[in-house]
Amino acid sequence: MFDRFQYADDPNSPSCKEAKIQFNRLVNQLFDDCVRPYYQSLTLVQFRGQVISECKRYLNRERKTPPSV
Amino acid sequence: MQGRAWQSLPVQAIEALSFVPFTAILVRMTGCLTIDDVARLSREPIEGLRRTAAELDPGDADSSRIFAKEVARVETALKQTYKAAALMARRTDTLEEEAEVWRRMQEFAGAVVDVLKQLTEVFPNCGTPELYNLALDYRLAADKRLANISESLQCQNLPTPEGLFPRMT
Repeated sequence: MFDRFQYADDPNSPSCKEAKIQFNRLVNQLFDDCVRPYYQSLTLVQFRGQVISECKRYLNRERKTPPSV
Repeated sequence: MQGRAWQSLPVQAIEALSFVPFTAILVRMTGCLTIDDVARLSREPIEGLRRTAAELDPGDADSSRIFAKEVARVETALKQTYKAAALMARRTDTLEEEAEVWRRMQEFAGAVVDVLKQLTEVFPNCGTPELYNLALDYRLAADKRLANISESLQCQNLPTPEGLFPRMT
């Protein structure tokens, strides 16, 4: 989802906008379900920032992994 | 073999064959083309628009036709530059590098906005207001993407609670 909106060719395309809505919804949901009850020192903005960082790391790893034969 | 064949084709032919913008091919092929290079190349149509506007009579029908062509060139440059920026941002290794790409894209779209701001009133019927709005959209899009990355950069030094994110091997 992050890939589909952050790096979309056309920022006005419906798929880009939809991916952004889905991403934000999922981050909010994960924060409410998995973070807020257990890690009270972490704010939503901080969590979102860390999720983006993890997404970037994941995409870089995918990009650099040679395709399997 | 295939690579050698297309290198001698004109840009339009490459695009028509591959359905991929030429800037995208350049980025893929060289790996060393920077956002500065793309923005610099894309500035030429903006300068052309400014020059043409100064030479034309806004009340004349022929002038409007000529100006509309220049507007279309700038629109293509804006869209291509954004696509190239998105590709480059995707391929950066670090958040800092990505932030720099979006910052440059923001500046480029801002330059288009600045030029068109005055020209929308002078040439209102040549696609100028539409392009002005598009440039505003693209500047805002680059802005938001930069904000995402800046937000993430600020959180980089915060300790991540143990076990919150899966460990990637």
